[in-house]
Amino acid sequence: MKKIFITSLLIGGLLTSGCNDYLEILPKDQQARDQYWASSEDVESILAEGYYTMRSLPSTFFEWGELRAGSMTTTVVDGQKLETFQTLPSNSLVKWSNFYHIIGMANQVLKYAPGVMEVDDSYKEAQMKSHQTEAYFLRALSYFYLVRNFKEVPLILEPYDTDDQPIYMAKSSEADIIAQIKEDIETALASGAAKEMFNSTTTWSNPSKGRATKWALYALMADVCLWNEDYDECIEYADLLLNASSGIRPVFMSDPMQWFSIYYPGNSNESIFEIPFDNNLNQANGSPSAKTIPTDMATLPTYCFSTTMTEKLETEALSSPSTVGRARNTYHMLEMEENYSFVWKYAGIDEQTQRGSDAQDANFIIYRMADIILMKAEALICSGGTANWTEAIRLINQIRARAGANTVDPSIEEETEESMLTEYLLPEREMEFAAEGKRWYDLLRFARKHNNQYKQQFMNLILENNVEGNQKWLKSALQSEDAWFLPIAESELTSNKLLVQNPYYGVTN
Amino acid sequence: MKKIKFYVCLMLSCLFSFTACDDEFKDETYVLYDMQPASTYLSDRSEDFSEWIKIMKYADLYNAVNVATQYFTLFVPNNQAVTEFYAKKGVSSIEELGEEYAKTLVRFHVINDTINQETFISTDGDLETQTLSEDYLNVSYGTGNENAGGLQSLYLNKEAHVVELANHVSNGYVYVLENVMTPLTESVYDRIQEESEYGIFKTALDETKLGARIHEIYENVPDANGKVTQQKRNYTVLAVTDATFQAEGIADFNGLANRLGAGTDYTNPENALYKYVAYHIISGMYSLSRMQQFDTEGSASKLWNTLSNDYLIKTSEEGDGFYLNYDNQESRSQFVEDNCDIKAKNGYIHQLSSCLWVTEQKPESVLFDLCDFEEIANAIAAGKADANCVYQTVGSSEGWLDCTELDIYQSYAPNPSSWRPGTCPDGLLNYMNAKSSNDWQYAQNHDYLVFNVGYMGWFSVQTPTILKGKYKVSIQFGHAKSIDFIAKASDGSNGGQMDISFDDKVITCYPYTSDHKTGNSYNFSYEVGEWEFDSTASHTFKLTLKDPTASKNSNYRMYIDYILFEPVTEE
Repeated sequence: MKKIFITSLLIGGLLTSGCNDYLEILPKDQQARDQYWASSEDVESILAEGYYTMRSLPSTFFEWGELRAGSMTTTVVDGQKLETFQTLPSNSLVKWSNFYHIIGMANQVLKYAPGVMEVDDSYKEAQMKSHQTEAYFLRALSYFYLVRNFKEVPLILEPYDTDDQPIYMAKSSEADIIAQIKEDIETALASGAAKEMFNSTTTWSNPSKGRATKWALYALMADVCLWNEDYDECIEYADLLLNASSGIRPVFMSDPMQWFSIYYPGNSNESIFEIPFDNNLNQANGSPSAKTIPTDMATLPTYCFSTTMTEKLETEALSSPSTVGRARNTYHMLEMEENYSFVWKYAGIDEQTQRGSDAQDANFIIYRMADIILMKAEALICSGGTANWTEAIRLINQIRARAGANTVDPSIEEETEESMLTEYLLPEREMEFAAEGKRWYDLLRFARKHNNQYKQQFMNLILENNVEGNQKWLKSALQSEDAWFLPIAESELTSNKLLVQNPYYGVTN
Repeated sequence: MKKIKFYVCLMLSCLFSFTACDDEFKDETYVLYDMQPASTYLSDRSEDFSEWIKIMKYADLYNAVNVATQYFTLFVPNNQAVTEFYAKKGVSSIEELGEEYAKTLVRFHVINDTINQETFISTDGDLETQTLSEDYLNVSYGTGNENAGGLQSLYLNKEAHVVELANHVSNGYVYVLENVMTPLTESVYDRIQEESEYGIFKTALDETKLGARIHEIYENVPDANGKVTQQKRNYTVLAVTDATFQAEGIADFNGLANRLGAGTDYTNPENALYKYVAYHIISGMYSLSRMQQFDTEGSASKLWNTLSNDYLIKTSEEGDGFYLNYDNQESRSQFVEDNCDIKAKNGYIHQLSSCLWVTEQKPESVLFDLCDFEEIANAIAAGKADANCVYQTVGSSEGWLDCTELDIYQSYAPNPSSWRPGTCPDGLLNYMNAKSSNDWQYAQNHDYLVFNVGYMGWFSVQTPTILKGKYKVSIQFGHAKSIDFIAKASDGSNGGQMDISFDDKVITCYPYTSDHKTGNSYNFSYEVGEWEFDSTASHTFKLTLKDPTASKNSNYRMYIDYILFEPVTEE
């Protein structure tokens, strides 16, 4: 009987006892916020995660920013679908998760960084606000890419902490998203905490170009204003860069001999914000070099200049009086029957020498001063007026002189806004920012000006340049203004029941 | 001891009974498989498709497309579309149109294959697989100025707006249409006849009796044993409207005959009117997009044979568009694209912008694909090939069709080797479409004529019309690793000696040896030399094998892709 009693006690004890730890472990959907947000290093590491995620984006910048414009082509099948406007929601390249990952990181910093000051005495308000300016920049930049590619996306401004929060989010309008982007940038700048430079570290030799500075915020704001047709505001923010007097400001490098240093070694004085890669830190994988340098001269790399873009680059090179600078050194011909070329900007260390296998780690430049100059020129053109147009041509010629190209001298009185844009501004941007992930946005911005005034001209430009796609199909698809934007990925539609597909893709399954 | 066990078990049972699982989902049901076969899917959406379901059931085809063992693509008109179709036909139910019509209608809307949305939207022209009614459906999209192009303006046969793409069902796909497609029962002649704008052209077709020829959809063809088989005949008609003739000062049929200087013997192939009308008819079914393609990469022009044997049409891409007979100002014409791709049971009608007067062409490169014959397409569509065979398409496996009985080739195989395609036990002269896993897929139109005619065996075929002149002739062959011995002239092979002839002129050559390469499946070109053709005509190409091993080695066969004729310009 005693044995029975003891056995029963043992079994009962075993069955009813639990581990204390079990009772203390939080559910998997809840972060240990009070334990995590304990020091400035924690804030830095979340920000770093945002920057780290950006290193996976250069391929996306080529895919979203170049292929549809016909300026670059690709060997990636889903990229070819994008290029030929046959993108469906199942296309792997329309996923936006990387951008929302960055937004998520930014949202956490914005919400929890202030609380860190309460538990870490060494974490001061100035440092906290500086971190927040970076978070605002990363969030604003991410939404700017999303709104230009999807037009309407869910506007998520809070970190996702627990399953108690709504998991389904509807899309916000383009106007609301643009307003939020501008508000973020304005808030960041108003805090006065945005830095002009960051100090080097052992693992980051030039963080002033890879982290969000005051200059990067100005550049992003100028770009957003240009997209939103707020031309006066665009000029205002461009001037904050162009007229800056700080000793550590980014400056336009006017010497053609210095042009190649923008790309090698990178982080040039002209640079405002770029995504850094360093082969020594095993970061080369996502670099634009890794995807654009061919294995041999008879094989297409993953991304290269299209045949039409190659012809334009050749034309500029042949007409250029200079052998240095942009005109002859942006591209290098491939030895193929068709007229393809690869992106020498990311492949060379100078005009002649190709990067070695241990140096295929070019940075991806998001903003540089030449961009600001041409943003201002575009805003001046769209503002109208002889004086504005004369100044715009002066700015364009500033870029052309550095490029080693002949300057232009139009008779302003005979020009129209359309001719100023299509004959001077857009071709200049096309050459200057070749393979820098901007061409599609330039054309789309052009098409949508003044309530789609230049739709037909935009279509003509695409049809001229995009020779990979079936012309009849392109002509048909581009008629639909919703087709200018990407479909929401089917996986997103499945997981977020409030998302509504872009109507152009409504017939797909 | 037994008591102890009893009490332990009792306690455990009590404990377990107190700790029952609380299944929070116990009152909810879950669908393990959410995909259904086609007809079941339609029934589940009966609010959209009840009218079409009635038609399918009346045609006794509802269950046929629901089987799990076959794959289908269904193009299903919604209820509104069916209602409008009845109104157009002046009926109120399918019964009034009869069971046969219902069968034809449903078969016209079903393809016995899977067509996913990627394939569908990348198609410009005909879908590659025929419907159950043996027709090719044509995909087009709007090109107007409306803000609804691309995916929003996909049409089938220029008639049915596609409003849902490729709903996935367990045995294929269901596309939803906003309009019913009218089954193709009419010939190209019928379609011309019903269009009043082609009055003069239609009269010319009647007077030359060419109208009767293009009205005949199926021709009874006896084989060598006297067995009659039905052979479908397809035509592409380049039609000229009355308004276009009038713009040239031609008011009526007599005006056209006078302008051409035709006598009265209009049915004589030498008569100018006959030549003019025949010049506007191409044998074969070519959609506009097909007519705007060229044979080789980099090429921007192509010659088309017409029923007017000695006269060819040249299509070309010029700086400002696509033209016919661009080099001759008087004959130059263009397609009126909005009025092209008019489908009929046996072909297409494309409207021209001008009269397209008969003209002579200068020699151009001609690529003669030895397998580009509608007889092959028809035989495959009729189920005479193996299951993998899809005409001019790269498949996951190679597909085969025994062509020995087709009247396009003549052959003599007195002592073939024992080699046969696995799925064609009697195949000595075979059509083969390539598979995606080797370089044969890069053959012209992705296919070969594969022959095993043995020592002193031969086959022959008629070339397209070749314009009079001197040409460099080269032949594209395919090589397989298992016939390396031919290239190496080993194992008793003399290197694949063969006689090649056009009409009576013969040369002896060793194409496989000359290539000097061995290894896995690839294509190579053999330059036969220069050839002078004294007249504009079709010629008989004949290949005779003179390698004794061709009858002995169990791997012996050869692959031929195309013959390229490139004009030689005398200095």
